[in-house]
Amino acid sequence: MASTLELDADVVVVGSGVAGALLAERLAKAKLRVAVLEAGPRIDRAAAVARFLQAPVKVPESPYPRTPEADHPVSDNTGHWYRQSGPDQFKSTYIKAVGGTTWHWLGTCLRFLPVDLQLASRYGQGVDWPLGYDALEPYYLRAERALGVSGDSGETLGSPRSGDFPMPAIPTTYLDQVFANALAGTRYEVQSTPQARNAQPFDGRPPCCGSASCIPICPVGAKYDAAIHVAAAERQGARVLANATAVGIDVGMDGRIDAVRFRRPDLTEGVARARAYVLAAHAVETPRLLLHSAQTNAPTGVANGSDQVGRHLMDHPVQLSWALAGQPVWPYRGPISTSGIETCRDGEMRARHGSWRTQISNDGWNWPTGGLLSLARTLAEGGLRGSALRQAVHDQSARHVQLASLVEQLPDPANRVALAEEKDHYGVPLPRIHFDIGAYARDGLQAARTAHTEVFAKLKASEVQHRDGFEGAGHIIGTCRMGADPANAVVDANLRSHQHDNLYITGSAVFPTGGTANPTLTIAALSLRLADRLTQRLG
Amino acid sequence: MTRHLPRRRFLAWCALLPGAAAVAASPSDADVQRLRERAALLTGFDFAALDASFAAALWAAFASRGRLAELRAWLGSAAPPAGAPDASPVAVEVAAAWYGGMIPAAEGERVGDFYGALAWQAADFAQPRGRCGVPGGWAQPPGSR
Repeated sequence: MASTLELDADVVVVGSGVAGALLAERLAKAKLRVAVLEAGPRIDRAAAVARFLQAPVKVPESPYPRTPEADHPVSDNTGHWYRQSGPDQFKSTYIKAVGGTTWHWLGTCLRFLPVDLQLASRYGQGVDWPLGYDALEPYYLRAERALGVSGDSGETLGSPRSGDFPMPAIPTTYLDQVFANALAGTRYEVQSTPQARNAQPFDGRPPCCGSASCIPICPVGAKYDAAIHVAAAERQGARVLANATAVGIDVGMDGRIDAVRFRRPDLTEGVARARAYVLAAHAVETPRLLLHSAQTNAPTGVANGSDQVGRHLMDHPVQLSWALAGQPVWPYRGPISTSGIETCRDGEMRARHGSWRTQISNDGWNWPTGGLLSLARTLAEGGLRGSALRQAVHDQSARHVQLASLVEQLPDPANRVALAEEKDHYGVPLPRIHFDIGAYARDGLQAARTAHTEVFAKLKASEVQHRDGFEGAGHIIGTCRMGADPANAVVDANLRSHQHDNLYITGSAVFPTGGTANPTLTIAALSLRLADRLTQRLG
Repeated sequence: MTRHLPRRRFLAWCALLPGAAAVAASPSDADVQRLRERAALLTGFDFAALDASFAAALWAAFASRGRLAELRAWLGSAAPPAGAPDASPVAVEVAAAWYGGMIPAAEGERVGDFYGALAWQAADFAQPRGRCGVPGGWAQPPGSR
C-alpha cells in the first residue's frame, strides 16, 4: 500500500501518555523537531464524563472509546485484547488515547525508596537498578513540579527530597483521620499521600472539587493527565498525530533505526523518520511493536538480540479487603484516596516475601462490590423494606471501609508479553501473556491480608472480607528492562537500546523491579532524565 | 438534577421491541401509578420522589424479559405490613433498580438515571460521582443528618 504521509523530525515518539508527552514537551521546548504517534483519539472531557455516567459497568475504561482501530484491554474481561496463557490472569489494563492511561489514573505520586533500586544487593532478591536514587532525585523534583503534585514537604515518606512540593497537601478525609486515630502507636502509621491533584489553582487548572471520580475521570481537570503536556508540546511546535498506530520499525544495515511505519484507521500508511526514536507506548504495546518488527536486520525482533524483549512482566498484585467500620467514617466523598500506610514498604521481610503499601480508600466498597449503588440489592435480599431499608442504606454505607495493598512482585523472565496468532485491525498480532505472580508476591499478599485484619481490628470493624486471589493495580511494569549488561537487559541506564544506537525506550517497561510505589512519578522522572540526555545528544 | 428518564428515550427504547412486546411493554397510567405506590412502600421514599418515566422504563424491562406476569402478580398482592420483610425476587429487583438507578433490561442492565438513584438520597452524605462538592469539605464529618 502506498505511503500517504511522511514525517521528518529530530525525534519520533511513539505514544502520548505521561512518558511520551512529557518527553515531547521538553524536547520541543529545546527546539528539537518532534513528531508523536498516538494510536488512540483525542478525548473530549465532557463527552467522556457523559459516557462514564451512562456506562452500566463502571470500570476505569468506561469513559474511553474502544474501537477496532484503537482497541485495548478492559478490566471486566481479562480475555479481551490479551490472549492469556496463565497460570494467573494479568488484570491490569491501559487505554489508547491522546494523553494515555493517565486519563484514568488515581494520581498517586510516590517516589521509589532508595532501597527499592537495590533489591538484589540489599535483600538478595530480583536485580538492582543500573542507577541509584541520587541520579533520580533531581528528576523526581522536576516531575512533581511538572505534574503538579500536592504533598507535605516536611514528610519524606522514606524518599529524601531536595525541594518542596509545588502545592501543599490535599486535605485528608475524615475517614483517614478515623484510621489515623485508631492506628496511633501501632506499626501502621497513616500518612498523607502525595498526589497530582491540585490543592489550589495550578497551571491554569482548578483545585480538586472532590467529585469522587478520579478513576475513571476527573470532570474538571484538577487531576493531572498527560493531555496537558501533549497540548504544551504542540504549543512548542511538536506535531502530534492522533489515530496513528505504529505497526513496524525499520532497521538499517548499520543497525540504526531508519523509520517507524504507522497506519491510520482507514489503513493508509505513513512513515516517520528521525535522528532518534523513542518508544513510550507502555509496557505491553512497546514490546509488541518491537517483536512484531522482526526483519532481516533484526531477525528476532528489534532490540531483542538477547531475547529480553517482553520478559519480566510485573504488576503490583493487590490484596483487597473491606469491612464495616465500628463508627461512621463518611466515605464516598472527596478524592478516591488521600492517605496510605507506607510503613510496610521496606523491611527485612523483603528477603522472604514482597513488601507492600496500603492505600486507604475513600470510595467505600466501590471496587469490591459496586459500593453504595449496589448496597440496596443486598439489603433487600435480606428482606429489608421501607424506611428500614432506607435507613440501613444510609447507616451501612457510612461505615464502608476498604484497603488495597500493592505488593511487590519479582521479575521473572517467564512472565512475558509475546505475540498471539490472532491479529488486530492493522494485521499486528495481539499480545499473548504468560503470567504467574510467584511465591514472593503470593506470600506478600498473605502478609498484607494479615495486616488488613489487624488494621480492621483497631477500627473495631465487623464483616471483614478479603478478596481471594489478587486484583490488578493497573501498574504494567517490566518487559523492556534497563540494565548494564546487554545479555539481560534491553536498554542501558540512559534508556538507550543496547542494540540500536538511536532507539530509546521510556515508561514503566524499563523498570528492572517494581518496588511498591505507584509507578507514574518514576515514569515521569525517567522521561525528564531522558529528555536531558537527548537534548545533549541532538541539540 | 437529571432525575427523569427522558420520555423520548423511553419511547425510542420501546420502538426497538417487537410489535406485540412493545404493546405489552407500554404500561398504562394506572400501571405506573400502582408501581410507584408499591415502590414507595418498598423503598421508604415518598411517592412523589419516584419518577414516572423511570417506572415506565422499569415496567418495560420486566416485559422485555417475559416477567410482566410476575410483576403484575406482585403488584396485585397485598403489601406486607410495615416492618415485615418482602424479599420476593420482584421486590428485590424493583428496590435494586430504583436505588441503583439501573434498568434491568433483557439485553443487560442499563443506566436509567444515574443521579436519580435513590441511594444518593438515602446516603445523603455521599458525593455523587462526577459531581463537584465543596473543596476540602471531605475533611469534616457531614452535618446533614
